[in-house]
Amino acid sequence: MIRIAITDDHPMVISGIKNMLSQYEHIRVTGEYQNAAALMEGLKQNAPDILLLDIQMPGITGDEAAVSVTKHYPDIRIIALTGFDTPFYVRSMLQNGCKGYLLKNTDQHALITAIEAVSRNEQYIDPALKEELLNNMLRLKKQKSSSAPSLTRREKEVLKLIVDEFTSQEIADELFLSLRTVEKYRIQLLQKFKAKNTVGLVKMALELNMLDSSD
Amino acid sequence: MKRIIQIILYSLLPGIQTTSAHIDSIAGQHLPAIIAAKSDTAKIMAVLDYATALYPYDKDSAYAIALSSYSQSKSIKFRNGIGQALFKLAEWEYGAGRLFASDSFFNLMLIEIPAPSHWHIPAYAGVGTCSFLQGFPEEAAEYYYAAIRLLYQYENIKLYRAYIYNNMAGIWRHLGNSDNSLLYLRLGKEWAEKEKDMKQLGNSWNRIGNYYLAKNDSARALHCYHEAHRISSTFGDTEMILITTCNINLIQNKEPELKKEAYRYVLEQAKDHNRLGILAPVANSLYLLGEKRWAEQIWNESITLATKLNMRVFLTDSYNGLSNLHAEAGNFRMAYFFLDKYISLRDSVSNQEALKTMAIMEKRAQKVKQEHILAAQELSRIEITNAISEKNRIVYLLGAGGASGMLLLFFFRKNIRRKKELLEKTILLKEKESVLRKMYAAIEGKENERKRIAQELHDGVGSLLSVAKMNASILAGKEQDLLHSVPFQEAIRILDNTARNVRTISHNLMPDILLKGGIEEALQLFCKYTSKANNISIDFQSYGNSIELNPKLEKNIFIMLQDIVMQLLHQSTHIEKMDIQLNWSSPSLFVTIETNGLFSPDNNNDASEWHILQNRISETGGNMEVQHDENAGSTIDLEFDLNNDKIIRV
Repeated sequence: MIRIAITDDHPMVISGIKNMLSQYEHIRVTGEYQNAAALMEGLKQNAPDILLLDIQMPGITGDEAAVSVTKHYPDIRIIALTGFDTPFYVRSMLQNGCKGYLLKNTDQHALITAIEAVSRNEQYIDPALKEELLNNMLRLKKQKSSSAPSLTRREKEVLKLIVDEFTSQEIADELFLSLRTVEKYRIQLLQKFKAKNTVGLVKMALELNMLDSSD
Repeated sequence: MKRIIQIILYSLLPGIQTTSAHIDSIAGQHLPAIIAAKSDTAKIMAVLDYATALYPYDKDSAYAIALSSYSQSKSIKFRNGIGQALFKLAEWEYGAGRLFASDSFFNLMLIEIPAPSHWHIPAYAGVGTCSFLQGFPEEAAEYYYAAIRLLYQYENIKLYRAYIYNNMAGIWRHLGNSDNSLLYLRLGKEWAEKEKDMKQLGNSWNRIGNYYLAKNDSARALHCYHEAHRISSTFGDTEMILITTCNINLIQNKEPELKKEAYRYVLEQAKDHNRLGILAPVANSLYLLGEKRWAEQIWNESITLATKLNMRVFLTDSYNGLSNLHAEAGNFRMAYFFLDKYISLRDSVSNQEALKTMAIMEKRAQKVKQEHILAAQELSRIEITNAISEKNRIVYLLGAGGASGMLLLFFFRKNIRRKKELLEKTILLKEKESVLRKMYAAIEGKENERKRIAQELHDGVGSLLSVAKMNASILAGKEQDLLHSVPFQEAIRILDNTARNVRTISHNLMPDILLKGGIEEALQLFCKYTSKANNISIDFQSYGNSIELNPKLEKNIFIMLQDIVMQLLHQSTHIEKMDIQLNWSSPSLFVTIETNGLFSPDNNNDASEWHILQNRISETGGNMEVQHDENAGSTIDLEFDLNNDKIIRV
């Protein structure tokens, strides 16, 4: 028997989840709370195995409540059940001690799969978000491993003129930009190439073959 | 005790040797502050104060201390330390007449201190002065105008304004445009009074005197020279005392022998390279007094000194004077020799091309000035006050001269009308301020409304849609046939799409993630949603170390960027791709948005969204530049000054 508590500020959502779970005999809803304060009070009397926790709630939010529940009730496994479909919230809730992350538009099958997985102490993340999370991580990894920064069209033009020994004023005249904007591009390029000065910038650009016209 | 002070000081400043008793006393005065400094930066500033005090007595040690402070500041990236040390070194080199070295230190300030920084103002002014003295007025003007443009950004800081305006006046005079010269001199005088810069106030009065003398108004010129002399005597500015003594001597009606005596005194007092500014006018005056041999000797000295110090600007008057002298003496070969030198030098530093370039630069500076409303209002106030005081003076003179009562009354009435106009302008300004306050309140109200609607959409409608989906899912579990029913699947798809759209709208209105994850996460998500909703590719990147922003500031920037992207999407042709990049370069945030489509905003009337957006960015102290390339697409560059409190208020 898996004991479940649900915390959501919308009674209709709680009722919808209860309806979805009612057909499964090995799952029983033992607590319903509409805010984090009521949840903390209820847990003193009746601690469930799994807590379905909304993030956006009035007063104490779900991400704050997750930290508190994990600290005081380490045996309770939390599944965030929310409308936020962003990797940021997934990372944040997992860091705050959640074991699972489900979107509210989930279907019955996914909800049961998540509850069963988390009850076996496995992690469960909504498949749509899992893919995005992985893509994000891969993109970040790729960015870190690649020393060549991504340059905008205008940065490439400015870089080429810097390499051709144009002064900022000459670049401004050539590209019909203000001197201030050219100086800004210089700073951006130094920052992107992690170079200390123009000499370092030119050296890095040549080493990374960033001046290829096809680039 | 003195020995202990020396030992401690040497241990703090390795490699610096000081010897005399006076120097020890200076060390004793500054040591407590150096020891008490609680941080490296405070220590550097205390050491630089010490170097400044030491310089008149021990130039080498002061120089070495300033160099050492510069190195230390550079190693800990302490911008004020770098600025102060390099500025001192540049000033000292200038004081010693080493223009190249001074120019190098000023240039180093521009290189070592990243923009934006108020240190660029004295640096530009310094490079400008060196260029001018070397006989490159056009180049000098370029630097001075760069400094003037920066001045508008640092309105509340006391920053060499009078010095820069007076020198601009010098360039215009050199190029022959005395009206522009007078305009800048008046600005210089106003700012010198405002900033209590007595050296420049004396300088302004003296130069205004020169202007009136050139216009043959000796009475006014004499008044100005007396003012300059009085101020420089009170302040103890030896150079200006000597110059004004010469000028007063030139105009005053007294015995030639007394005049000559005065010039002799001035020549004895003038030292070093500052003597250069005095030699040519003295020679000219002596020439007028009939002392031709003496004048020739001084002009020759002026040429030798100016050549040695590479201050070409001082050569012209001497060449001209010697040419006239030789012509009068019938020595036409020598007269032609000096005339040729005078004309070629004058043409090299002052020609029509230079005047044209200057006029363009002046136009640019005026444009920048217009953009800074507050600066323009201030200038306008000064001009109106000047005009009123000028009128008052005329009224007074007329009255004293026994002019008719009616005329006096007329001018009084005119004066009152002026004052009334001033009052009306003040009221208008206050009304504008009130409108601005109302606008801020309206924006804040609008944002609160956005937040409320966003929350209701996300928590209310979004949650209800989720419940509908849950119930549909239960129904499908019970009725297996439904799972394969096309209308049921279509209904589920519509539910999912609606929920996604509600989330997108809610996020775009006021993203919750902005508060929790910051602007980068919020923009990342905004790009994701907008990309899906508009079926285009939007790539978002952020470079540099992001800093924690004031939430209000973060919200303002986010909303402005969001509005720009929406404008780009709705008013561009053939847009398929967009790149958004943030570059954090404290205290600025640079943003570049590039698309492959051509952006043609509706900017025809003041009520257009693009126009309002431009105004909003400008009012927050932000800067936006839009560029189009017919083959590549449009680029929008933005810069936000994160220290500017306007951006937080709006």
